[in-house]
Amino acid sequence: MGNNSLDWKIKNGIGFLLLNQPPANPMTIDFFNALGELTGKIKSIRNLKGIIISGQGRHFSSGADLKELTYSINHHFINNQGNPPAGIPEFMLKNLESFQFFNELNIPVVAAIKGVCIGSAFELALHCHFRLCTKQVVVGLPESTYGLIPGLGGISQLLKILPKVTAMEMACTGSTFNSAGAYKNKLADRVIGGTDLLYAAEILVSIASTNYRKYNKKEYLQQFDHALSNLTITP
Amino acid sequence: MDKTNSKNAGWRKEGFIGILTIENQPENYLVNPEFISITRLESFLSEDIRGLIIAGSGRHFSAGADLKNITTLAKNPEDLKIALTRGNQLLNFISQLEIPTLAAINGVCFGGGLEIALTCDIRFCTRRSLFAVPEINHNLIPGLAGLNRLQRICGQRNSMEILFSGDTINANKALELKIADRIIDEQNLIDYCRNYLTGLIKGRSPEVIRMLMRSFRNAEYLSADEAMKEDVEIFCHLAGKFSATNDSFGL
Repeated sequence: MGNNSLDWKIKNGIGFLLLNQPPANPMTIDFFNALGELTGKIKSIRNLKGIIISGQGRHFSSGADLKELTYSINHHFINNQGNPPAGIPEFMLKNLESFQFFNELNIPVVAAIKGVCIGSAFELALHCHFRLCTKQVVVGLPESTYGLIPGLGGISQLLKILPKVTAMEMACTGSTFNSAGAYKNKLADRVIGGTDLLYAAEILVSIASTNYRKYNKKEYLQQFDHALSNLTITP
Repeated sequence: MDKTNSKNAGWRKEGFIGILTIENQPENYLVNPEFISITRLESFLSEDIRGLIIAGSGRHFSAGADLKNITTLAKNPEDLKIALTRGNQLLNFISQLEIPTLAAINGVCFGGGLEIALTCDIRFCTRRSLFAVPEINHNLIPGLAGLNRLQRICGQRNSMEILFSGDTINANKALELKIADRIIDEQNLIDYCRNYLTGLIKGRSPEVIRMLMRSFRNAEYLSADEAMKEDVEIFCHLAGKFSATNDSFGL
């Protein structure tokens, strides 16, 4: 990538995408550009078993760098004044496309969530096919507290998982969930304790990647539970 | 708090929450599917209403259409069609409002009454609430897009169970079938619902709530791709007003 805002490695046939601006791993414009580039690159990789998305260090990501992002959006509108319609800035649509890219892949895409994962970061996790989290997480969509809405498909993805009443509570109040709340509301498929998060994600990808069908999610998770319980029995 | 009654509907405003009641006690039969005119409702909502509760007057939500009235109207099918079309326009108007809407369901909620409740984002009921789509017992089908909304809210299987049986369903079963979102154990359901909606919008600008609800509507009515593109546009519109006076922070 042209910058170091994300880290991409292939190990055992699995792609590891780490947001790489610790501690908070904010989604800067550099990051979104690198992500867009990466999606182009992934398209040409053959025999990729699956993708795991996580953050470097303690957190997944604090989400979009709002100051930078709103500055760029305003800049776009100012530059286009007198040329109506100014329309949506192209880079914002590209960011959405990058997120959708992962959702539309036909290999398993797992969000491995630790620490903070809010705003656009949680939107990215919602576009993933599976969400695993550690016990210490904070997930949510606090956009409304800043006078904004989740702009990268978060509401649509949320409604696929949550009943409308819960989705509205989450989006309107901007309240966050811990791991127990996330699991109870199906926002996290599993809470991982005792096993390394990325290792657990790797196991899940290995299970799901054989003849992967998105609609078999429940079955893969059962096999995953079984594999994890075997791990804890044999040290 | 002001209260302006029309014949079939009551209205009051408490804080930023509007409370629309179906009036025809005791069962609140719908004299007319268009129980309030859109113009009248629009003028009520223009009083800075940021959340809407629909409830029945007194002990029940509504027992639905008055069969006698339908039989009379059906003597001239054109009249019935006009009445239903107007009812449909009203229900579509309510379901497209860009504020959170909540049906507070006391007692019976049958047929056309349930069709009104289904236009809301959220349905809260009590232990004693009863639901039904009894049209099939009279060789009829729901005439106010209830079939369509039921399918979207409860799914195909649940909807077929409700529609084909015509059975009366208690609160627990309603929760299981996803017609009701929650059973509320409070003495006063409407007070509870008003506090709930107030909590939902608390501290948020009316515009953000409106834009969020637009996003929810888009997600419901458009393809996922279209809805997500709309969200980008809404985000940019709001970001244009965002004054980034703080230090860089994440979201």
